[in-house]
Amino acid sequence: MNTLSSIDELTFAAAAGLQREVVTEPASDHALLEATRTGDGDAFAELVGRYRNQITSYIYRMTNDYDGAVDLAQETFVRVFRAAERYQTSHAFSTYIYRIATNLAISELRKRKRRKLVSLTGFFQSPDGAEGREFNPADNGPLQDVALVDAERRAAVQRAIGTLPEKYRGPLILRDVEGKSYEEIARILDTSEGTVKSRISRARGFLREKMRAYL
Amino acid sequence: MRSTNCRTFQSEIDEADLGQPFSERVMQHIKTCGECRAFSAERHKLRLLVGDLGTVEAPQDFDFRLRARLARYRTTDKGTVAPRNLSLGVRSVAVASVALIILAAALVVKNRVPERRESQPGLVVKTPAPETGGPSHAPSIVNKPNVATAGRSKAASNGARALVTQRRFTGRQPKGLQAVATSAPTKRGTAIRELSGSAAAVVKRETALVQSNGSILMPVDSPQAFLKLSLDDGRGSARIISLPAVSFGSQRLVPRNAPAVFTSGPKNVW
Repeated sequence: MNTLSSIDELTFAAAAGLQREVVTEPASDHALLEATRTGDGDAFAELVGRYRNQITSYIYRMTNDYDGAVDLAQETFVRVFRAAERYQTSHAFSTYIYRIATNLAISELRKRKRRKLVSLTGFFQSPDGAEGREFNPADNGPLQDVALVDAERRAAVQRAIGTLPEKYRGPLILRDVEGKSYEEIARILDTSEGTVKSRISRARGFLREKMRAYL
Repeated sequence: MRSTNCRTFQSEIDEADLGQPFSERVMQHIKTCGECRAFSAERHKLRLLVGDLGTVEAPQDFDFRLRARLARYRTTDKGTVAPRNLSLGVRSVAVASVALIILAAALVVKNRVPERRESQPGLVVKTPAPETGGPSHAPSIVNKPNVATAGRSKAASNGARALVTQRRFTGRQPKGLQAVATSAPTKRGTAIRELSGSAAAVVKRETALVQSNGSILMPVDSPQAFLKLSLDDGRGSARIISLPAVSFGSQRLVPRNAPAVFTSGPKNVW
């Protein structure tokens, strides 16, 4: 008996010493949204945690305004929350939330146009005559410190993207910054893959002219 | 100038995923075509530059501000009709409003439409209950209590109450003497009937007598030629009209239940 009890104790001790790692798969976006519908605030907080940086970054790249991007990102989540009951799981959640973010960003860009903010650098029509864009000549000055160079390069890229027409800006950011596939971009923008590829190609052509110094 | 083949290869180079190797035929073409080789290198650098932007992080208080925003949304949503029921609530209110308007319009129309005039000829005089003795047997003009008085001086001094009429102002001018009498009270008060051709009320020759029922008798030889009537429409407005005294000769009317009483006066005094 003593042996048994000792064995049991050993077994018990061994088991107690072990830290069992309970591995649970993270809930899918749809599951979290479903839980949000039933009033689970933690599920929605989890969803926000997953997408807040991506959405904020995407809107910032689109609008080139950080504070405005944060505000629009929050508005995106508010809309997701309000429309939770109507959400259909036929599409991926990322497609859904990026579409909301895109629409908000484009609305913001159009509001700015209506306010007629005049750039001091000038304005000229794009070659295809579709939309005007600011004239932003390439910077051919000498490069300096590496850190500053990197920061300046990123700022220059961001400025260059900000000068693109809105219909080219979104596809380029989603493809080259966010790393989305053509299929997903087409779903987000509610257009065809061929149109997405064409717009991305045009956007890169515009950027190439502005970023000559860095290429 | 790019050839058609180069354009095709460059499209394929542009559409490829970053870091993904090109197809064999593209690789072969790049080896032989300097333009496409330069294009490929340029595109690769550009995509690296753009990709190097990375992801911008949301601020630390993003969640806190979002919660506050959602709380504000919930608060405003509680005070208003929920969006799902909004259309139903608005519809109900609209239907109720329309029903009320129709009802109000019907009431207004009903109040404004003039009452039908009765086709009875002559003047309808409501006679008071017959009293024993005295000259009350002759029909008198009905009095309505608590009404503005008018009439001849003697009648006025005796506190006589004038005939009360409630005339519905239809805008028509009365033709001659159209003394009206009260009819049976209706919902809206006392109605007025203008009748012509009926037998006239007989006015005694005696001085004005105030009978126990409050009715007054007008002497025919009253020095005043006009009879003043106060017309009260029952809505607080009244006006006084003057009617000439009319003599109908010797015709007399007696109450149905009252025994016939004949009076006589001085000669040539009607």
